[in-house]
Amino acid sequence: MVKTFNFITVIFIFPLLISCGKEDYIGPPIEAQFGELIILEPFSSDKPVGVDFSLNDTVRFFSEFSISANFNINISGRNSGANFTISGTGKNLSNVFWAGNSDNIFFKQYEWCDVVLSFDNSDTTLSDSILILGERDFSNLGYLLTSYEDPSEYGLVNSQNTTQLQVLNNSSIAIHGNNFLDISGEGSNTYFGATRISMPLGAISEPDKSNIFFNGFFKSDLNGSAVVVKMFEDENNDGSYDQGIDEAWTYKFTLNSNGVWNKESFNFDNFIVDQTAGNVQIDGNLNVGNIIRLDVVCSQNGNSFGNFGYFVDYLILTYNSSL
Amino acid sequence: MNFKKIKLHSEFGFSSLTNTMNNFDSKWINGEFLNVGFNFDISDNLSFSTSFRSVSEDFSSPGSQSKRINYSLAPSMFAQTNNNTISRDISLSDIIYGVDFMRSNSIYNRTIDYGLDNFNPIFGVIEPYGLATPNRRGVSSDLTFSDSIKIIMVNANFSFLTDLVGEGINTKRNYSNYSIAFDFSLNKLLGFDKQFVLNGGYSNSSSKRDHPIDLNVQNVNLKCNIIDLGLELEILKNLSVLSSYKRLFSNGLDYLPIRSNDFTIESYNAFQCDLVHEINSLGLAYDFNKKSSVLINYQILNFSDKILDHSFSINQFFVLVQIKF
Repeated sequence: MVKTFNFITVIFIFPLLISCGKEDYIGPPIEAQFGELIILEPFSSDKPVGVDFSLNDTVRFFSEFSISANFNINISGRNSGANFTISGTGKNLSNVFWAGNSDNIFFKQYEWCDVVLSFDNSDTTLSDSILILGERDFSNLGYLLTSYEDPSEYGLVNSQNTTQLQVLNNSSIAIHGNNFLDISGEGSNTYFGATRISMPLGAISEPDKSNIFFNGFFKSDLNGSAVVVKMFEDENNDGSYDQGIDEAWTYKFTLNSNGVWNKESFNFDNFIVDQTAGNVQIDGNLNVGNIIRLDVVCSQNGNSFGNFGYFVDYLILTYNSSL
Repeated sequence: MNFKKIKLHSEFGFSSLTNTMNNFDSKWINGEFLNVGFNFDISDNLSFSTSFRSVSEDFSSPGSQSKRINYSLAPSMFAQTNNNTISRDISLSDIIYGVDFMRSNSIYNRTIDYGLDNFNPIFGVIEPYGLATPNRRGVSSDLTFSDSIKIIMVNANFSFLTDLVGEGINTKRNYSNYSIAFDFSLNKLLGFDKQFVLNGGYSNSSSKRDHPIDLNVQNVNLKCNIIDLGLELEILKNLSVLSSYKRLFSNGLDYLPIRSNDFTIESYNAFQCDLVHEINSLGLAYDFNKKSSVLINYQILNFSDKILDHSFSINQFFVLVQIKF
């Protein structure tokens, strides 16, 4: 009886196993790595005469391949040196578009961009070019602090160690628009002047500080230069920051002294309570709705004697992700 | 279960593997296998067995999936050939004549690995980890014959397996393996009182997968053949002449999965070969007693690789003294 039961059990398990086949495959598609790549439709875009990103226009790309391939579209500005890379996998470029965004510094108006389509595991490259008629407006990604175009947006604060504090006008150097700030100082102090931006209460619409990012573009060739970003709360709603009553927050980062523009971004979670120069901790809670002022200070990484400074442009707070 | 001359057997199991060393959010990887079959003693001299197995693509069994040989290492002898310009992988001769298992640079594994160990595909890809090879399903059969006085013993084996799930494509690979081996005791046939044994074998394994034309990917077609012959002739008491010949020829293309620590296939290695490895060996063996012996051997190892367009030979003479404690 037991033997018969076992026999029947085995007989039933056998077809059960056979029926356990899977239809989908595992791993990446084999053709993406080893298929012979043939370009079935040449690389092109839908903006042969130029694109105006300031009108929220976008560029769509077209091409079709023989296999599902891992592709990269690299866009580089001939004047600005800005870059943007789009990567994807597919047999064509449907749903691939560019909205004027960049990986680091911004593309400029009236700039020609070289666009190169390349593929992983293949030497095949295809090229096109696009003329930018208008720059994309990034201010809708958050709260634009200043791009130094409008003097009413910012104030400049110097110190006895400040050697240069001037907004310069040069569209070929500026990251955005025409203006940028040249700030520098000399000495062994850590304060060489600042950009001061006043903000109305509730200017930051994102309530969760973890979702807010500070972004700015800095260019320095002076070793040891650093930036201190300070934020000031108005906890008693009297319209000003009061030492001992309100709380200040600070975050310091060292600049790359490679002599080119670098985008610097950090999350608001990095801010710590500023307890220097008479500032004290009140409740230890950063309430972004209370922020009324933000200073971007020219500083140095240590306290040695020397020259420190940078160019700065386009300071913006973005929500949910960095710029 | 026994049904007179038929014995049924079945085995199934599950595996769960996770790695929390570097990532506390590591997921569990669950796999399973099943093996059912029967042994049929057709007569006292002839028996047949067959089994069906199904091993899921993420089945983990570190004990049975750890390779005895660490194929990621270089051979301990003549690792570079052609004036030190070309590295060679561990091959037949290194495994058969490797006598460095006590040295620190031994090619033998000393650990059990939780991932899938490297293997050399020239030996075939049908079941590099034996029955525990993941992503296999199919039938294996075995036929054994020996006459009543054991003059000849023959063992034949064949397997037909497929991928359980396609790798990189819905189409599954088909694997096949045929092998036959025999031991022929000529001394019993000729009435000699000393050992005179001839043995040999042939094995053929292949993996195949056809791809649609519009995929523009070469088809999988990898074949591996191994022939071996051996002769042992006892010319004086406890003194034997040994001779052997072994030839491996392997050619074709397969896309071998490269798996991450969590068994996920990340990419593929396009393995392509067209090579012949050959061993000719002649020697004398003397058994002092059951636990100690000496072997004096000369062998010629020939390697040729049409893909890399190079060939070389290794002539080797060695004396091996074995004392078992």
